[in-house]
Amino acid sequence: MSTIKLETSDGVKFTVKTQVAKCSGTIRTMLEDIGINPQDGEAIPLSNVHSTILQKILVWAEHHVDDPEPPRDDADAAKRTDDICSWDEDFLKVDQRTLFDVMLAANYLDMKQLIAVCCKTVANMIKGKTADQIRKTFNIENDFPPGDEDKIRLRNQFCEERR
Amino acid sequence: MDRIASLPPELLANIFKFLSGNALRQVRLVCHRWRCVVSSYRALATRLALRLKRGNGRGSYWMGQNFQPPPLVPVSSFAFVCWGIEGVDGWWPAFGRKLTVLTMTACTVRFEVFVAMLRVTPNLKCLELDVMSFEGSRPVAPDFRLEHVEKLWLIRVYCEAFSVEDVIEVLTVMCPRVKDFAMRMLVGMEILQKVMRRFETTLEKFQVKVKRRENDLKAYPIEQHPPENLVADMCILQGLRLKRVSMDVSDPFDEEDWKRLIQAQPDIEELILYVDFSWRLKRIAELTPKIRVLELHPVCIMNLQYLNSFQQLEFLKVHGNNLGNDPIHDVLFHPRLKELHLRSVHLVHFLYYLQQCTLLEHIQLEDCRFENRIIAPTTFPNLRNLALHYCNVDRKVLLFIFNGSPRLEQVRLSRMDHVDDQVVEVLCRRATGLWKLELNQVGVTDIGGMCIIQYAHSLEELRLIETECSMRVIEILQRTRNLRPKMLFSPPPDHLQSFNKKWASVLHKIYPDFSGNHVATHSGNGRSPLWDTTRDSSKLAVLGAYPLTSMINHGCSANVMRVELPGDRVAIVATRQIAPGEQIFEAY
Repeated sequence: MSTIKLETSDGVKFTVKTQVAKCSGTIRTMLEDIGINPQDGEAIPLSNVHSTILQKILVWAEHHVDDPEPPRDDADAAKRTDDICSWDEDFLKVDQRTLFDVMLAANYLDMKQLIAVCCKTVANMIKGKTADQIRKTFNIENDFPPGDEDKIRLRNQFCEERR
Repeated sequence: MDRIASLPPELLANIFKFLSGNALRQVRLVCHRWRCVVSSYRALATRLALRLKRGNGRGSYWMGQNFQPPPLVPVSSFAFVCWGIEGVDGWWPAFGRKLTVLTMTACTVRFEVFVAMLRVTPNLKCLELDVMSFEGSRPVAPDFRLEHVEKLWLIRVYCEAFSVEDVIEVLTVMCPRVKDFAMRMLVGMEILQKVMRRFETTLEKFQVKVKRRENDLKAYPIEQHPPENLVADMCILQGLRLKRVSMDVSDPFDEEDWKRLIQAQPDIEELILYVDFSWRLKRIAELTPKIRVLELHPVCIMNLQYLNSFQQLEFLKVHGNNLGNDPIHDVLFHPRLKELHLRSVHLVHFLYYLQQCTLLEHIQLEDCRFENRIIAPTTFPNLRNLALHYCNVDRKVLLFIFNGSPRLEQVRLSRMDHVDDQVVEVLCRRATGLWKLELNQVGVTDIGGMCIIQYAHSLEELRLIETECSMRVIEILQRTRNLRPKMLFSPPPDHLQSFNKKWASVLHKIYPDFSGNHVATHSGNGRSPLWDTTRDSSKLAVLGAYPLTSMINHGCSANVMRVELPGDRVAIVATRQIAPGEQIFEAY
């Protein structure tokens, strides 16, 4: 089983099975298209990912390495968020900071499945909440000038779910 | 600090993709950045739609040149409902440019104004007109084209000074690349042939009714083997590749016509059929086994046993209004069925049928009757949408269905006798993803309301119409979450309740079997259970008793009206001042 080395932003080196590393579209492209040779023993630098996060992502990739390719998604179709498998659910039981860091790293590494699971998790945190509750949940500042919020609320009145 | 701020817009958009339109409305309110994301990603903006409806008959019907629309969210889907449009020059040009979907319902407009409106909507993909009346002089084809329009639906269009054919002519010239054309009005064969030829290379869905001769009330797409008719055209036009068609296959349409059609149009897999004999259905199924979508309009009493010949069905809709009380005794079997709509159908082995359709996602039943025998517990793992209206579904069958449906997201129950608090409890407990619930004229009280509060955590839209649930339920829900409520009826005032109790005790003396507090029922739509002999006969005697209200005389100038109350009760409400001693009349 061939392995490659990955180096995180804080200088930690990971030795990873090639197959697992290829869950990342970014690494796959590096290996296949750009022709970086992993046998050289040189680590692939992942300058945007911290070691604690990469550690976590590798656990996920290890578990999902044999997953089939997801079907191409249809932009218009109603998306469901209740189909997160229980392993992923446990995996993502982390604080918000870690969750968003994992998302950012997954985005950088181009791991579509992991991004989708994270997005669903966050979407579930938004669902059914009022704007105020959403702000509290994510600690977001209300940056609308006073009065603007009411204006948007008024606009919203005429807006509805598309049939 | 808010960590979510570190996410780039494309990741935010990716998250929002999983939200419903209702949740997106709240997202727009969170902060400036989030609002920009919702507005700037097309996939998100198309999730939202605008409906500009004249408010409850208030305000002027006419939308003049100086009309100021309310502040509008920039969306790509827009509907005018119930407006007389004189001109929209002020705000429309800036707004129309983004539109891809335009719907107009119950509107009146001069044709020139309508054309001027379309001139500034170059990106339109879908144009849908229903109950639209055009005024003004005879239209002429304008000098611009809407190249992107793929769906052109002229459901019901009326014209004052010119004919519908003129409108079709102009619009089909204006939109040269239509894939999906539909009309519900009867129009002449000639214009439809012209439309089909015009869209020869693009047309995929063609749903029309053809007028056989002037003043023909019935829709026959086929004349008695005329040299030129639509089917003949469908066979001749080389570039035409149809997928969905509507057909009247009753007499004189015959097997040869069908064979020719299928040979020429092998891609047809969606059918809207008007059919007179079941054996025709059988032959059609044999000749076209790969039909996926079938919408059936039986034009007379017939047995639908041959529905089983369509094995590949994913969508089945039956308008059984002409079927009479003839039940379908056969066990239907459609293993791939995803969506089922039945109207006025008497299906004996209903639960067996459901059990076989493991892929079912959507069920809509209206005025249907079933045998209510419970079968072995079944789960409906994919069922997401269920609407039941005026069906004789038993309480235990309801519990059976809801117990087996953990994935339900949208449920509508209206005029269902056996829906009670426990049914609602089971539904809300089991379906954790339920986000839309409508209860209309069903016997649900505040106990059911509390179950909704307690268990339906994903609920975003709740409609309580003429139930015995109090406003409190909605108030509590609204305090704690993002909910669009609709409550159309406040529960009956106390004095009416005691009034009903009094009459219930009187009734109990007359009809010892009578147990409930049903005093009288009277449906305004002519579907009173009193006249419905298919209903449970033990109830019939009770339902016929209108002890007090039936003493009211009918008169031409009525001064009272009947109002139906929940639980089969009725109230008499004064429609004007009534002087002491004046006789009470209700309308005929």
